[in-house]
Order: sequence, then structure tokens, then C-alpha cells
Amino acid sequence: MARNPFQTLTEPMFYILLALREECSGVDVMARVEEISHGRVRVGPGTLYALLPKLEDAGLIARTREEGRQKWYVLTGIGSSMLETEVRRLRQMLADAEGALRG
Amino acid sequence: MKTKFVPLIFSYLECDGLARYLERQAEKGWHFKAFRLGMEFEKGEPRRVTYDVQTFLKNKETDTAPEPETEEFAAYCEAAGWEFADSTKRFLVFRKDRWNAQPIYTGEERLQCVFRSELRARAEHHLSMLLLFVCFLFNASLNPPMWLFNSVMQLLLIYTGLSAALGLIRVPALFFWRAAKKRELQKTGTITCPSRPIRRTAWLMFRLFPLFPLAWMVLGPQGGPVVWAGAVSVVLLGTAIAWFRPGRGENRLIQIAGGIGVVLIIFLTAAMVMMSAGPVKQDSLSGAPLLVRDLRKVTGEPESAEFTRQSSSLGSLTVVTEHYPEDGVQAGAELDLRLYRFSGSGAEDTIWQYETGRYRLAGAEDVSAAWGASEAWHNTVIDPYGGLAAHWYYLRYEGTTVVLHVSWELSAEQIAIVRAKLGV
Repeated sequence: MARNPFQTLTEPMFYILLALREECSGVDVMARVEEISHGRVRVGPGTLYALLPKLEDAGLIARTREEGRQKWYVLTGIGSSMLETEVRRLRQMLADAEGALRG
Repeated sequence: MKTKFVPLIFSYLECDGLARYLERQAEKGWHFKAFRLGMEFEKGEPRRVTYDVQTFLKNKETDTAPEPETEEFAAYCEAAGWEFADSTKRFLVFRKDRWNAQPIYTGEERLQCVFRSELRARAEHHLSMLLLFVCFLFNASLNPPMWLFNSVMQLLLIYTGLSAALGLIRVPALFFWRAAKKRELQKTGTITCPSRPIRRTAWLMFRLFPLFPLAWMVLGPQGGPVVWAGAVSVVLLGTAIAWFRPGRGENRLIQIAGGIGVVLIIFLTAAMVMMSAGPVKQDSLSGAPLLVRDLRKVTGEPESAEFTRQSSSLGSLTVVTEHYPEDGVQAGAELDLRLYRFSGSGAEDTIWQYETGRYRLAGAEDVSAAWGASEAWHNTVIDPYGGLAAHWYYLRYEGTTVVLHVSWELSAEQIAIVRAKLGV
């Protein structure tokens, strides 16, 4: 069976979904990701351009409007619950790691 | 403003090589402006400019200008600090706009884009050559003399066959390139696509090779107004597309309309040549191995006549055609001669089968003894409408095949003249 590419989110996907909690143009997602991650994560144009249609096809984000070459997106309900699931998973991972490291 | 045009001969595997080339030109004061007629540069102040050349998989090999998807992607790159300069085929050229510009692709993305762009380019080229080769072979099977005794056509056949076969080396070689770049990616986290001047030059020479026989076809003895009209209209169409750079949709339409236009021009030129043809000049027949007047008395000039000779490493084909009309004083006379001389034995059987096949020898009379040939046949076709009769002679000697059509039956004396004239 084909693996669901969004079962666990990669770092760029995670930050793109975070950035799209508010409506944002595709081009501005790069700056917002950098802002959210305090400059730690930078999503390149190649990655972003390839990921946005995939996330849209999977129903995680929706296109809200289009002006010239610019497209605006926003997180959908499915995207929002996937993001929350991912946050819970990451929290659990962090707790597991902290517990294991404390011995 | 002073401008210069340089052909674009870089492959997708040389993206960085092309970027460094543009940077060197900028340092000399030649600034890349657009992909027009290759690459267009504008003269200005020497400057240090950082270029980045990438490939974009949504573009096509036939694209001459940026498409809407290209511009959409370019907008993302501009937000990342790269000014979009221009695009052609799957190449995209950017200038660094900010010191902290973000890389356009990750190493893995870049490897995939470059690899797939080059794979598609190579596959498209070699498959189109294979298609052309199959068409040429099919045509050669229908009309062997056109290909066997014409060096230019033979070169084109060999070239397309070789080009198609080279795909069997060049496509797998690309997978080796990808494996090497994957190792580079694992070691360094990025990939480089530098210039490959020796391979590029060798491939360029190979691709330009057919231009020599084609130029010879146009400029040489076979080049007439029809060939010239075809060649000039194709060059003009190609230049116009490279200059005006139509979008993908328009380009497709222009190529279809242009192709139809070129065929029309060729037909019109041929029609004009035929209509403007004056009386046949005897000079045009000088050197012909056999004419009607060698065999019988005729007055005046032939109404139509043709004498051509073409040769290749396999031998030569001489064609003579003469037609004298019935004018009340004399009966009309026709002569068609196809004289094949073979350098080796390779083509002899093919030509004999081509000339005598399709029931042409049905009901024919064996005249080998009269002609002193290893094989000779005489077939008579009477025109039911009272026109000239057709006497066909199919003669096979060692190293020579003759197909002779005359409108009267040849006497023993005339056969002797034909044999003496043709040296058989």
C-alpha cells in the first residue's frame, strides 16, 4: 500500500501549515516561516513551490484567492487537526526523550 | 546600445557552468539580457554579478519564453532574493538580488530537477531521431534509388540512425551521472553542475554534422530554386521563432502554420519553375549517354527532357528522359533511361528487384541473347487510347543494370547502338 506522505509532517510542511493559520500569499509563506522559527528554518522557493500544490491536493490548505501571479492560501479544518495531531506527537516524543535522558 | 548574440550550447548538466559564463561576461561589461537568438548580451559597465541557473520541470524543451507557471515560480524566487532574468526551454536564469538570498532548491531537489530535465531532453532528441530514421528507412524501402545513389541522403540516413543509437549510451550514462551526484550530495550536502567543455563540444559537432550535407544539397549541383525556397523559408521561420519568442500555445500554432507555409512555398516555387520552363535546350542534355536521335531521325527539339546523374559510394544512377510530340511530320518518340552502375554488389539485387518487381515482367519476352546480357526482358504495353506504345527493356549486366523505355521496338542495329553507347 502506498505510504501517506502526510502521515508525519516534515519540518518544511509543519512550518508551512503553521504559517498558513492566517491567510497568506504563497510568496509570503517563506518570510512567515522564518519569522515563526526565529530564523532557524528557511523554506526555499523550490521546496515551497512544490509543496503548496501537494498540501492543497491533500486538502490540508485551501486556495482563497488569486491575483496575477500571486495565490493566497489558508489552513483548512483537516490541516488544522493534522497540525494539532503532529504537535501532540512531537510533545509526546519530547516527553519520552526527556524521560529517557533523565534515566 | 551595443548588443551581441551568443548561441546557447550548454546542457542542463552544466547549469553552474552557464552561471559562471554569464558572470565572466558581466565582468567584461556584457550583461545578459534575454534568451533571444541564443543569448542576447548588452554592453555596459563591467560589474560583478552573481548568477544562478536552475532548471524548471514544468517548462518544456520547445518553450522559447517564460510561461505563466515559470513566472509564478520566479515570483517565489524573487521573494527569496533572486531577480528573474529570463528563461528558455527548462533553463531559468536569476541574478542575486540580496546578500542573504536563499538557495532556490535544496541539493536533492536540484539533483532531481537537473537529472529529469536532461533525461527528458535526451529522450526527446533520441526518440525523434529514431522516428526520423524509421521514416527514412520506410521511404528507402519504397524508393531505393533515391537513397542508394545519393550521398547526401545516405549521410542523413546514417546520421539519424547513429543519433538514435547514441541514445542507448547517453541515456544510461545519465543514470551514472546521477549516482555520482548522489554521492557528492551525501558528502557535501549540495551538488555542482560545472562546465563539461569537451563533451559539450563533441556533442555540438555531432549535432552540427548534418548541416554540412544539407548545405551541400542546397549550394551544390542538386540545389535548384525549389531546394533554395525550402531551405530559406525553414531558416526564416526558425529565426523568426528564435527572435519573437512566442508563448507555448502560439509557438505550436506558428510551427504548424509555418510548416504548411513552407510546403506551400515549395509547391508554388516548383509550379512557377515548371510554368516558366522554356523550350528544352540541347546543352542541358550534353553528356547524356543515350538520346532519341542516337537511335532514330527526329526533327526539332524535344517537348520535355531531363538528364540527371547522382552517385554515392555504392555506384551511380543516370536518368535521361526525352519526349518528342507528334507534329504531323513525324511520329512522336519517347525515351526513358535509368542506367545504374554499381561499385560493389551490395545494391545490385535490390535495384533489380525494385525495377522488375510488381509483375513488371509478367508476359515479358526473354531477350538475353539479343542483348548479350546475363538477364534481359522485353515487355510491350499498348496504349488502348491510341497513344504511343511502351516498350520496356530490363537489362542486367555485371555491374550495370539498365531500364530503357522507348516508344518503338528496337531493331538489332539499334540494340547494338544502345550497347555501344552504354558500354555494356
